[in-house]
Amino acid sequence: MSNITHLDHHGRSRMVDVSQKSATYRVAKARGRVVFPEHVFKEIMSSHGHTAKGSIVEVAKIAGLMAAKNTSNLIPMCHPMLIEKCHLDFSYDELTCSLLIESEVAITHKTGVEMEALTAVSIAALTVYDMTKALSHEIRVSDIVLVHKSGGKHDYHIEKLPEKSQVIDSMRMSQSGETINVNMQYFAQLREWVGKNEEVLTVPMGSTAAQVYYHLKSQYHFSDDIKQFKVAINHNFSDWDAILQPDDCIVFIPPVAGG
Amino acid sequence: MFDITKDAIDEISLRQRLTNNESCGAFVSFEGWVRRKNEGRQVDYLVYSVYEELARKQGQYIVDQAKQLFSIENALCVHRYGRLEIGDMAVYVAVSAAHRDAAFSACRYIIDEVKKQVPIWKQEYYLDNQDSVWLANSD
Repeated sequence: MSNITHLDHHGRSRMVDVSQKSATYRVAKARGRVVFPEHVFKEIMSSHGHTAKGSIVEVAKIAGLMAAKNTSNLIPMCHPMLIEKCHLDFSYDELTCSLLIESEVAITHKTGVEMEALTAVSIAALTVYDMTKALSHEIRVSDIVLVHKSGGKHDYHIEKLPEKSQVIDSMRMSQSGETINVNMQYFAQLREWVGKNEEVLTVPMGSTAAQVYYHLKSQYHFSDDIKQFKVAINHNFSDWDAILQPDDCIVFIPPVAGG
Repeated sequence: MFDITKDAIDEISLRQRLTNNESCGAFVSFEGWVRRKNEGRQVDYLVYSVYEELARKQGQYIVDQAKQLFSIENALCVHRYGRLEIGDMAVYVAVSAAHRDAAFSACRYIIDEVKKQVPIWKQEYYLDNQDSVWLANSD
């Protein structure tokens, strides 16, 4: 019971006292999806995301923003928050016939904004449902989840990146086993740090992209913070924990600056 | 259509690709130019570099997404790379649609997403000093 801060030591509910905490910069990101029957998804695509009620994404975006601002009115123990950033992203996914909703909320304050990020996604998803419910009764809201939280006592990120020390150990441990060759390509700052455009790297079979990053980091003095970077494998964005295959082309992507 | 090019962007001929369409009542374009002053420093010139395979793929994906998300007829975006002088056009976005709302929204969507997602990097060189800085877009 003591781990649940919304309960006091008698087990009674309470709003957590944050009056003595200091303000830090906090970010929370959440994600969810609305899954449509295939014929409904096709209908939405053919109408460019519009229904009789208007643009699904535009209305849901406004609903998500309003919801984030109103979280403390909906969730009993939530503190009222003066949200400083609230951003919602929508993308249609043909493969799963769904609309993916992502939210990001930021604030400099004493307590986190994960409830705001989750509420934004939830209400945006329900709004999508409302905008499309005339098309089917089988539309489903699903997979609402926190994907990132930082600035509080414990940071969290859903793509669980391995700790540095573990990585180096596992690289060492598997050193005796079989290896594969992968092709590294370097761009922008990384090209300057490495001093070459590309190289072939021999890594233990089963290595992930993140392991290769940490391995090269010590050699070339890359940034400690892998989260600044994205990774592409064979010219597609990929997850850091993707297992590398022989002759894969790997690119670490620093923060972009087009436009 | 999404393209990246080392040569100067020819916005006149790009615009022509979207005109002569009887179902369109609106055309919106955006041009991004190289600015003299950035964050208080006098810029001499810029060098854009690009991860071409992924940039083409991701740029085309954004243009396709815009066509799905908004009621538009056509859209295109061209980004330049290499050395650019002050006043040069770095990026061009054009959208045609039946009505202006969708055209404005889609144009804004494309430039915002290109700046966020497409692997293009900008190195700024200054007049006052020999150093240069790799910039990062805020999102």
